[in-house]
Amino acid sequence: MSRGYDTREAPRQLSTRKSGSLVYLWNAFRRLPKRLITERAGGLQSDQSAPFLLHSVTPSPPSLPPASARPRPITSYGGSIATRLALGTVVLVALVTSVVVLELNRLEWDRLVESKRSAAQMVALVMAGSLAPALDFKDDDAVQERVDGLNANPEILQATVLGNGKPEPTAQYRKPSGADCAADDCIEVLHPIVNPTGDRLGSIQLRVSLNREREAFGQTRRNMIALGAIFSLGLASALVLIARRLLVSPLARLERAALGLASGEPVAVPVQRDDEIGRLSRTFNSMAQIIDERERRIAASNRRLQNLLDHMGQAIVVFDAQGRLTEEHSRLAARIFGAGAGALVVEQLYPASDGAEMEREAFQAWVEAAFAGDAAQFKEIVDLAPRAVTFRRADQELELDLEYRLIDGGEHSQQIMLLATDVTEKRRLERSVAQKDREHEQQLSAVRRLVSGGGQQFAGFVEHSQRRLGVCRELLNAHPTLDRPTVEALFQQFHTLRAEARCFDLARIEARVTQLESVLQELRGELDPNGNHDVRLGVDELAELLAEAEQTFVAQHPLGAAALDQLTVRRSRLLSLLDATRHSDAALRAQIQELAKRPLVESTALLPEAVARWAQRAGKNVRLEVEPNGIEVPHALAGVLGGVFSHLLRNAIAHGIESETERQAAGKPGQGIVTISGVESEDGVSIRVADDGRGFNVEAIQARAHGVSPGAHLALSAAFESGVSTIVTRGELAGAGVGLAAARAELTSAGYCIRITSTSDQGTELLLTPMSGTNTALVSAGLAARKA
Amino acid sequence: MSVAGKVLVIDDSEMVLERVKSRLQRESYEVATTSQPVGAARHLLLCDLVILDFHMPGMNGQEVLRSLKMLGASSGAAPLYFLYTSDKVLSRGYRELGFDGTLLNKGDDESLVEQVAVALRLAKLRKKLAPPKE
Repeated sequence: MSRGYDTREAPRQLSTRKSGSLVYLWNAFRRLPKRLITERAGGLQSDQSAPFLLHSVTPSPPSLPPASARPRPITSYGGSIATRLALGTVVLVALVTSVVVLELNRLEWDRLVESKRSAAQMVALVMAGSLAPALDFKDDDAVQERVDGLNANPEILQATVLGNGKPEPTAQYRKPSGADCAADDCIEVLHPIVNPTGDRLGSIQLRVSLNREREAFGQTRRNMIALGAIFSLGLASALVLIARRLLVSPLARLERAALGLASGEPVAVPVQRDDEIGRLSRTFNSMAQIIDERERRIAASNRRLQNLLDHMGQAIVVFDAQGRLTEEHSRLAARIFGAGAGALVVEQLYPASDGAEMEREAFQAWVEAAFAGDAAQFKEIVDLAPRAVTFRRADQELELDLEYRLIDGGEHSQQIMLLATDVTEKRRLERSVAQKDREHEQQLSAVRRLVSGGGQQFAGFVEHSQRRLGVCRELLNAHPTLDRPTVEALFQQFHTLRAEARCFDLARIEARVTQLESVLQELRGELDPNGNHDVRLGVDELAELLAEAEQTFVAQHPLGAAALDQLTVRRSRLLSLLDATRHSDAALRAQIQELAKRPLVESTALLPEAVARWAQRAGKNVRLEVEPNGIEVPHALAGVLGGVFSHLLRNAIAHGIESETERQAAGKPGQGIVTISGVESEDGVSIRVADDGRGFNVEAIQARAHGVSPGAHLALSAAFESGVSTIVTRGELAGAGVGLAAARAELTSAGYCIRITSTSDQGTELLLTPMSGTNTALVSAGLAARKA
Repeated sequence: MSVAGKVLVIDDSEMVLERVKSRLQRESYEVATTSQPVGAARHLLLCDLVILDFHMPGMNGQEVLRSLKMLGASSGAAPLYFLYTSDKVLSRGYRELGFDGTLLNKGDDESLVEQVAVALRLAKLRKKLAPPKE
């Protein structure tokens, strides 16, 4: 009973032992009586709503346990209790009767002998009386005559009369047949013969036969033995009947009930008396009732355990130290592995037909190590177990995640539970997502590089590639059956196309061209009439891929399709041209200035990634949005914008945008946004950099500006003085008090200034505008609002 | 999934070495590489797995293997020696050649990672199961 399942414990442990609960459940399940598990599983198997059952493959008959485990009546060669009791009684009675009879016989015999002796004494007395006169007168003849008269008595075997003082008998009578009888067969009596005066005359000796007494005694003895035997048999029969009624029959009923109980049948034995058997029957009935209730509770617990297992969605098998599966397994396991008890677990995971020799060897070594160590070492050993396997069968390929649990871990592990989770679909989705992510990342990466480089190289690549594909089509049209020179010509076109595609990270085009090169490689060795068709399909597909890449580029470029029309011109040559036309008319100079303009996006293309990086470093969540409106900026401004944006954005991240917590506390979205946009006006192009942060800390700037820029009465303008930081604590991104001053200097050199609008808790807007007579001073329109 | 371990790769191609090293390091393995079999023994100590190319100039993998095993045994190092080749016929006979295993699909980095993980597990398990030294 020490391994019995305690149903009172189960709910408490299920709720408290969350980790490893499966092993606990399994252990509890295993501790259930085998017959019960079999019975319940068999019973539930008919219920189609239970998809996950133990012993579900070959359930045992529900009624009886295996014959070997079933209790059987004990076969006794000594017969039943009644028979043994009767025999014992008979033997005992026979012994006692025999002793009694023998004793009675002895007494009877003694009595007979004594009676005979008395009778003989009487005869001797009478004879002595009658012989006395004759002997006194010495009449020997008369003595002899009287002695001879004794022959009338057949029992007197011998009579001898001895005269006083005579050595020889005076008279003697002897029956011829009985003179030498044995001592036990006769008795002798001696009686004196005296005269009336009392003088002793002699004596008479009689020897008397006991034959008649012996015959009578023999008859009596036979009668007594017969009676004793009859008494013993009667007594034994009576005892047998009583024992059968009082002991054997009730015990037989209890035996039958015990067998029924062992078979799981509801049993009760009748209680007819209040003796020991009656009390035993009552106790048995109570026990049967308790067992039945207990089995019901266990069955209920079993169903609950099975329900839990049903929802785990794992294929579960158990294997022993030899790596062989035990009987316990889930229905899902039976469906996936299909093997029964005794099969090798390594064969299930890595069938020899799969050729996974190393995996098999490693798994077998792991099983050996797992069972060689104790339970404490299992945690370490399990790290060396395979955690996933691709399970191949004729009609399916499953990806399984594997987990291992030790069962009954004592000093040495006895069994290991293997839980296999089908993750085929999950892995497929993960791979698909990862592939898409990679493709997307590659496209974005390529496009960013293209955009930052101006795009004209990509435009040239597209144009050249389309021309190459045109050449290929012409070759294919001219040579329906590809000859060697045509193959070589095609090879050259594809080879160059592949190299160029690789430069632009166009992996799909590169892969397709590689395939086509393989086809051409084969056609080099052996001309194939179908080769033309295959290559033509490839060319068409490449044209589609090329168009796709071009569309991606155009979609990503702020200038749109116009980006394909871009041309890179060296700044030095443009400046030389401007210088050479210094004295030319204004219209020509304006045209050249226009020609020298650069797209704003050239200065912003790499900023989104940089902003994300800077924000992460500052522990904030910031996104940069660049409004793609195709604005072009003067070349002088374009030359400094990179550095200016860097200063302004780092400053905005460092102290303009709040932390996520602060923003959420202020009712703002957790992610701060910085926007860059371009505005065209009569005065020229202005650039707007705005954030939705907390705005400038005017008091802090004023405090730090003291003594540095005493003439600067506006705090915001003081922020652009060198040495005045807009942030209280100097950090990695900003705080040195140099960035904004440097930005202003850069902009001034390009003929631009900064207008600031800062609104408390709403954000800051920096407007980079061309210098003119009206806006050379820094103005803070938002300052008033902040102070209010 | 990955089991930490130290791997020595011997191949005459620097390109293969660089690829294998880069890929295995991404899986957090400690990787040593050499294109010179002579002198490779100094990497053997504390090494769990040796990945060996077979066709190398001047010396084939079997000779290198024999030499490494001899030197390894004398220094107490007992790594597993795995053949790394794309030659399928050669792969099948790895046991006869004296290797503990073979890594298939040479050039397929993902397959390499999976196989190295298995090989390292095997190496650690063999060490665990080995009788303790006197």
